[in-house]
Amino acid sequence: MRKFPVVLAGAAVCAVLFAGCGPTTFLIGKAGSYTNFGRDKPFFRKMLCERGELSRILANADLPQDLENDFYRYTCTKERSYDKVVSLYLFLTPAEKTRLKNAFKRQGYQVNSLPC
Amino acid sequence: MHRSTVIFFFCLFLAAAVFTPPALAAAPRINTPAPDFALPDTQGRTHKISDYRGKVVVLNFWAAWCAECVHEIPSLNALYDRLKGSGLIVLGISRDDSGHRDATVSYPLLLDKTGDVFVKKFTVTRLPETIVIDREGKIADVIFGSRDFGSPSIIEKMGGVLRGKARQ
Repeated sequence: MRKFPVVLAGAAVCAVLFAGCGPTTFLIGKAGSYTNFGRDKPFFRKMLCERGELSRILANADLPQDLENDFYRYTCTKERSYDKVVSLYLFLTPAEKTRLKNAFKRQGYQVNSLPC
Repeated sequence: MHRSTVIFFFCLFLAAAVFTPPALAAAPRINTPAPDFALPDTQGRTHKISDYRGKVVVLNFWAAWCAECVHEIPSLNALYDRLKGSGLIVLGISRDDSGHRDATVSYPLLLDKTGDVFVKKFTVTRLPETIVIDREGKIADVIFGSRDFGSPSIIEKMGGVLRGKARQ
């Protein structure tokens, strides 16, 4: 069983290679819960939308105002759409993506570091 | 079978379940009318898609930071140069035009500064993404990822769209 962590790590690397970096955003985690940013999960809706954390994160990320508004609209309003959030994330420049992830971290979220 | 091999495939299955991204629903649908929009090109001239009715329009969504996107530009040039006389136009759509400083582009480059077309009209979720619109304004094909647009198979495929034989 000593080999188990090595085997698991190898399998994870293979899975990432075969799955590729498909259309998605990035993993966010808080208090033991995880999801892809933009997915509609009750826990994250409460944290991000009802408690206003997403507004603070977006303000910290220093994105263009149009994009900031759209991220909020497609995450926290009746127009909620994971596809639109994925598209918005893809639309960001690499520097903006990094600022958005860092803004999540400053708000106490864990963020995955896969280069996708 | 060796025990560690069994464990490896079990872990591979679990890891694949975790890392494989869920499918998205909003991809443009073939044979549906393409959304109309107007965007300025890098020279300041406005291009309205509905003004190209009667032509085959190849919309290529790209980004300056996307190496695959920049890599396929020469082949898009080749496609455009080969078929523009037959009624095909290529339009590149990006947030900025900085990635083209190192590449000569023979087709118009449209600037979508706010994401109105990229996000709201077409909801692009992979780059590069190329959407082929037929002469009637319907989506004839959606191509995800980089392609050699100068290859005989793509030229033949585009020829089919020009002749009105859209993908079924």
